Amino acid sequence: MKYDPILDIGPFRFCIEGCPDNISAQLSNLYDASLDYNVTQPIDYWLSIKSTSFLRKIIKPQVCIYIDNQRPFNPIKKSLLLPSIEWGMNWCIASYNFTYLLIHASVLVKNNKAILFPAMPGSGKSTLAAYFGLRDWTLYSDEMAIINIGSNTVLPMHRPASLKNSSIEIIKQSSNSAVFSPTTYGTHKGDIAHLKTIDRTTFNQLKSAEIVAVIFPKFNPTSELVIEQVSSIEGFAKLAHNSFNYSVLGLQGYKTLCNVVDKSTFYKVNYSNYDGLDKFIDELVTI
Amino acid sequence: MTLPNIIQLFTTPSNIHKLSLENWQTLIRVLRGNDLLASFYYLLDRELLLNHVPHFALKHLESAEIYAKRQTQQIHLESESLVQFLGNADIQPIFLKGAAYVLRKDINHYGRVMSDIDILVPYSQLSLIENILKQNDWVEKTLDDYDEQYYRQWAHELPPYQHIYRGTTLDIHHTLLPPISGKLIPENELLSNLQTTNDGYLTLSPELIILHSVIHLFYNEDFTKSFRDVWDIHLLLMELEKHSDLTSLIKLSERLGFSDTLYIALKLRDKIFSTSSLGNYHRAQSSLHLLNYRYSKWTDLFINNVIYFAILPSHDLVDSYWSRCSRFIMFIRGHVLKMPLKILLPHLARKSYRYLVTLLLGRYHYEK
Repeated sequence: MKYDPILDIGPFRFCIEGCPDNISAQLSNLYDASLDYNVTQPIDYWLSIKSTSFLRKIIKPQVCIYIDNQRPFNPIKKSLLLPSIEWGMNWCIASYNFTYLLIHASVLVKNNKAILFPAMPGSGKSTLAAYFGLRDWTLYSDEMAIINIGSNTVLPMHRPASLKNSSIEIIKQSSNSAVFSPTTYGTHKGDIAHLKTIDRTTFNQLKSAEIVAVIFPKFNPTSELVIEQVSSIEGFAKLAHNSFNYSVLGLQGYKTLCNVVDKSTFYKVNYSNYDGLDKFIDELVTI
Repeated sequence: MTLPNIIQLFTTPSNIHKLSLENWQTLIRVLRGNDLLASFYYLLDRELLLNHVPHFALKHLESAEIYAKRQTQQIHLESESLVQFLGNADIQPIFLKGAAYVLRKDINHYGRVMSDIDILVPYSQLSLIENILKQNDWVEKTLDDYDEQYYRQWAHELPPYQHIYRGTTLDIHHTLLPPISGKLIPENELLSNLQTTNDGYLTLSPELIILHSVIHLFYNEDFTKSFRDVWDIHLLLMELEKHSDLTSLIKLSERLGFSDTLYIALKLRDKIFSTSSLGNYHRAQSSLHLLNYRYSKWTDLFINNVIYFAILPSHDLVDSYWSRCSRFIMFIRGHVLKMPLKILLPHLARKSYRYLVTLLLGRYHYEK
């Protein structure tokens, strides 16, 4: 009897059905005690990994991720599975959960105060999140801010950060003790590696944190550090635009976003390195 | 948690008292896979049972309900906009299927999710409506030439349109079944018994709405999510039965040549929901028809042993080898019903050739 890994990431529990052993081992490395093989509590979402056909088991092995009767992604080479599992988990949360306001953003927390970094891919938000998550900040999420409805607080998720292409080397060099997954080369988003920033014991101490600032980062290798305050009106529009489910939540979503906007300050930040930026974000969470 | 257990929850929702957490976990997955989570939420709501749902399951049911509620709102918004700008060109769209259930506030619309809005317009207004849509931010979804030609030549609807900003999909029908099927419903039958909702939207008559749902289900070829349609039909029939018996529906089906299809629906409804609609059917049938179709043992055998298994909720957790076979048989049957063989065979050949090419060269071979 082969058991499937169950991932408890805090607000949600996933089961990865039919997970190949090597991938289970990689997941275990990233999730430590959040991964279990025994069912103790009901599971929210199931990713079922299946071969696309008998032939494809043998020649150029290819797999599909099914989520109940849905197949959200195209079939992929078996060797590219790990990032797809992470994306599949994101897909489940964004497609099926409407009990939180979800914003496409990474979340860094210090002194129980949170800063959101919503941004388009390529803005360097994941690298930034990973960099500070490995220092004296806690990375609540590198992809999705889970905001409690009717509040301005954000929940932590116990998940690895996902790094792309050159970011992988940058972070590896900046912290030689960090736990990485093997790099998956040649996904449709480039090369991907996952990074563990927190262990389960530490995660268990975390609680919802109040959002005090929102930063829209822009990485520009030739730029000096430029910090520019943004109006809360523009901030509101940008957060709504970066939300996965703002339009579905209706009035509840609007009220929640108002809470967040009323109690936060907004900044656009251009940066080429983290010098100076660390001091700036530190000030935002210190009173 | 077996399939019969799950089906029984739809007729006797109070059985949820007996469910363990593990049962709930299975139930949530099967409902989610069949687009029934929010419909089940509303069923429990009507029966005042939501208090008895464990927290784990309730959060999934509520999430689905929030999504469904938003969709209902969107249907109202889109319908209002359509009626307004089409009205300026003297086109009065008739809302079909999901949108009609929502606008009529039929009991089955609560929690029912859909992927598009369906409207019906007279054949003569098709080119006009296309022009008007294009002037109002709706564009034809990009199809390849073959699919485009398929719609234009054989289908009962235009290629789907999509709103450029909101992404809503709109299907424009000129009749209920592909003309190529050989079943032609006279346009005046569709347009002569229209109803107006309280908010002023046009829909088909209640009987025709049910018959359309029945036709849509049994002339279909994909049965993976058909239980949602079965549930629609059952609830719509229950609503109709509040005011009358089914005689008018049965007469209408007979007149339009769909007695057999309705028979299948009623028989399955009785089997699944322990109703007795067929008694009504037999009384209302004209004696002329009695000899033909429905007393054939073969027909009943086919309904009980193939169609029944194809329309039940599908999911890896509950599918059997036979339910998969049944869905395959129904896939073939759906095609045969819709297309005469001389059209079907080249169509299948074309599609399977394209499938092979796609396998070899990747799907981008055909995409522009």
